[in-house]
Amino acid sequence: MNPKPSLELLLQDCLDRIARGEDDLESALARHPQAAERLRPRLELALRLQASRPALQARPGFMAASQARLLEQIRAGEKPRPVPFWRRQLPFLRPGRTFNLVTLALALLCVVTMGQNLILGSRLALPGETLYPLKRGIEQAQLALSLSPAGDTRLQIEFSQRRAAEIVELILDEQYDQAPYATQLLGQQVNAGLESLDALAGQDAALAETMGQSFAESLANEQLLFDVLLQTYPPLAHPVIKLALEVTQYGLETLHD
Amino acid sequence: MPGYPDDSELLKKAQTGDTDAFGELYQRHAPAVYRYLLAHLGSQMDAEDLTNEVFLRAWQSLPKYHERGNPLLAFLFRIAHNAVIDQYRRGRAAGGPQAELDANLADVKPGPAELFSAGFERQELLRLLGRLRPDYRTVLTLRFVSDLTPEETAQVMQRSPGAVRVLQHRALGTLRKLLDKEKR
Repeated sequence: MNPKPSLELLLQDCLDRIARGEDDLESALARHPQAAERLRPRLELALRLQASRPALQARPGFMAASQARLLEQIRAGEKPRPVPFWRRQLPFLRPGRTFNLVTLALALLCVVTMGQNLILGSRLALPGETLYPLKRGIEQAQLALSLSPAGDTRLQIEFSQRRAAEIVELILDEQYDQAPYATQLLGQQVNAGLESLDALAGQDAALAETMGQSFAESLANEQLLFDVLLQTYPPLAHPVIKLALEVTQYGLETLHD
Repeated sequence: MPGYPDDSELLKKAQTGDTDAFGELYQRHAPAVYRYLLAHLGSQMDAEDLTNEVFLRAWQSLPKYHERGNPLLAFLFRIAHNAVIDQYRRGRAAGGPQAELDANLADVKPGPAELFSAGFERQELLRLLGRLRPDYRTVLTLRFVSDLTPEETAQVMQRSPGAVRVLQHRALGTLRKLLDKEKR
């Protein structure tokens, strides 16, 4: 006589049959009537986890932009892109992280000790340039120093405009290698702006609506600009322009909801 | 299928330096790797950074990679698994893996992207997985979120398929109890 199969094996058997489309939950359990009662909660949970996959999907446009960037890095024979210095040293200086006194102290130190020229220079930096991480670092410091959700939102919207402007500048300079990365950053920034608006809406719905309108206006203007670029620039630039259009469209649709 | 190369063929091409073939592999498997990373780190930004890093590391390791007995998915997820551990180590100063995950989960508001399709589901899923011990979280993520087979999961976790089945069974049981406790 065969030994009684363990519950682990029966569970796997049910999962395999369901995965192959041979059974659904009920018919899989019906194959093991003595164990069905104990198998059901686990099997239901496993199927629920599988059904939750779409909830963990990446943002629209991320995979395409990231693939393009990866292939460019590989073709250029680059080593893995290191985590930016400021982010490695100051992991808490990220959008959405809880504000704390250490952040404030470091942000102040950063602002005070950096040469003015360096800061001014970094404001003009584009993705891929040496001063670009500094530019992003300064933005994080500005966010850390902002003490209200309204201030955060204003900054996030402003940074989103900067990201869009960077893409335009890269396209105008025909620096297409960094453009997919810049588009990815625009997507992140639009997300951050929308999240910040959500947070503000919980405190001051009227102000959130006004700022939302201003955000929508700037996204619509950017979309117009990208449309013009799409009509006037060579096909080489089209994939990144289309991605940028996708991101702005996405932001607009979310705002209109 | 004609005109639709399988992973093995693409891998062979990639090993000869064919970046388009590697791009195709990225397209096929990056979404699953991303989900695994997001489920462990709770931060969209970290998951995005690490997805790129995992595939760069994979590309750099291709010359040393032999498919025999080690399918591509297991190879990729092994790199992803190590990347998660490295990320936890980097966050240790901030209070260890759980603190890092908790801090990240605090950031995971349903952003605009998630409000469309997932919203609360995503938050709930990340929060629940975050409450499990690391090996339970890993086995459930690999098996059900990233859709690896028990054999592939076993290779990533460096255990036997039998041990993975047991771990999966226990992890589901623990998660069920957590959910029941929350319902009460």
